[in-house]
Amino acid sequence: MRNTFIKELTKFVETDKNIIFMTADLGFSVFEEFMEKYPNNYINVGLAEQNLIGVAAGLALTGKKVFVYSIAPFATARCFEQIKVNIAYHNLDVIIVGVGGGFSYSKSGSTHHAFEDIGILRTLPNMKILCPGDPIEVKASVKYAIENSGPFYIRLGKNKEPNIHKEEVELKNIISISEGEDGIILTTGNMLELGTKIVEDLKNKHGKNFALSSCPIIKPFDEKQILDLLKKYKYIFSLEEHVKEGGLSSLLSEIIATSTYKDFLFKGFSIDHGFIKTVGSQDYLRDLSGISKDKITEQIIKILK
Amino acid sequence: MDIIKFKEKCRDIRRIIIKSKHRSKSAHLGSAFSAVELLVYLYYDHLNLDLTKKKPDRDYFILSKAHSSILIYAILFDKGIISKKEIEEVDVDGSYLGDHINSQVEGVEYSLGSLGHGLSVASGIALSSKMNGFNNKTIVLLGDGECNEGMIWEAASFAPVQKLKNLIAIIDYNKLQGFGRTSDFSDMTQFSLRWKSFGWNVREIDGHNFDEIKSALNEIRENPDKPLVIIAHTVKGKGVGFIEDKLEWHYKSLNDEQLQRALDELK
Ligand SMILES: Cc1ncc(C[n+]2csc(CCOP(=O)(O)OP(=O)(O)O)c2C)c(N)n1
Repeated sequence: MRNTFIKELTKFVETDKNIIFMTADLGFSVFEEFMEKYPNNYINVGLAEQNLIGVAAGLALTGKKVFVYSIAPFATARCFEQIKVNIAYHNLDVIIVGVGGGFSYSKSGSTHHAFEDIGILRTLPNMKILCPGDPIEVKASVKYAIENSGPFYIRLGKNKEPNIHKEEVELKNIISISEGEDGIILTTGNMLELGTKIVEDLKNKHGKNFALSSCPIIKPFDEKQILDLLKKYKYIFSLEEHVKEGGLSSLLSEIIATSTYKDFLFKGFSIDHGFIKTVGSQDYLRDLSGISKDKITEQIIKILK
Repeated sequence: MDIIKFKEKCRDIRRIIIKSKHRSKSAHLGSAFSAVELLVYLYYDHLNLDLTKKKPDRDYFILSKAHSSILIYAILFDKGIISKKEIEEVDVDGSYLGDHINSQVEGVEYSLGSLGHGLSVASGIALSSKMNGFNNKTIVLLGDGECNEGMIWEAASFAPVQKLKNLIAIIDYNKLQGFGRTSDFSDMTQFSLRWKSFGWNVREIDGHNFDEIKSALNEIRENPDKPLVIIAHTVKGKGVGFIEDKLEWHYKSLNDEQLQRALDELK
């Protein structure tokens, strides 16, 4: 995802020199080409995330469109008040790009896991949140953030996520991937690929036909689109690599609670674990916290019985 | 510890590190190598350790540049605290031993991984020791890039006015950080003067030299009631020629041929 991100950003900078890209000491083997091509549009502030946000605010206040980049927790939680006061309050054109959503940095331990980033940023007025599910959605996210104004958070995975969409998409709250009549699975961010596998398992092993959709725009969210789904599907499940509090599951619960229509069942699958103190692959950590393919499929089957 | 034993130990520790990094394919090899001499002196000579973490008046060590965890794990393995199986399973599913320091591991005081936190936490420990009237010390290892972080300078202001004479900060000044040279992001020409002006005792040494490390830690200070910072000039990747002073070895892992070449150099 991060290679797609910088490729796409480079395209926009080619024609719009008002766009500035800033990093906080990250980007080895990813940003070198951008640095060389556009030295006037590139700033590395070093290991100083709070300064990163403050400087970006100053640049944006005076008319620049600024992308800032770091590992997701360091681009969000580390400098949360700077984001709130310097950027969100002033509704400035700063696009925060966090690499390594969820457990992408699985072997780096809890400090590098971004399990609460969506939740904390959702609380901020003016903040818009994009969680692309594959490289095609990353491209669409960069475009969306550039064409709209005000602060954004774009939550990337890490690398090598496959394309799930077959062609370019326009960014929306809900983008359909495949149809099905037994229920629907909504995923956000880097859980999209897992969603396709769960839908396959449900079909091939259990004879259940689930629709699958990706939710790359978490904020703002058009509530009506969810309320309409409730009438169409008996079962609605959501998948996210984030804790329940503040994430997709929480967002859907907030919307669904306002519905007068009750003939459906909703369950959100989110990270269900305290601080994780062991390391391992991303799949291992997903399994440990209840959001692996097998654990989710098993629970869905139980609910359907 | 004499200098011959010291050099042997440093070589052994580097060999353990390099084998582990080759197995796990994880990053930060250069970061661990630059601080081997400093940590070997601390862990085999200077610190009054209690690896069971039971004695409240023990010496404390905090690895603020937490991505050098393998350096501590190699030492704990060498001391028999971590088993062979554990050190061979760094980064494996379910292991406590990963890329950042983890206090679930016996003998480790504190978990970190996000840079900039360690000097404040160490100041808190030192303050607590002072309140309790203990005669111990707290030592924290910082990266030079890590000193970009604002929080470091908040602690740098705090510790001298609190007269934390029991606090020692060691800076692994290897001139490189995550995506560039440290001097690209901060004017380092007056680095020691910066600490001095904040009220610290400052020693600038060759961080690979046994005698200089020893004297910096043991000599009487100019201001006996103030904390000490040791700015240790080091080489990132020190010990293996092709790894030394190269940004890429913050990230790269060794292939089989490189492992062999490195082990040949570390004989
Ligand atoms: C707050 C924060 N930002 C970014 C990172 C990612 N990161 C890990 S190590 C590193 C460079 C550290 O440089 P330095 O402190 O000089 O240590 P060295 O590895 O050179 O010894 C970076 C940017 C991090 N761990 N924490």
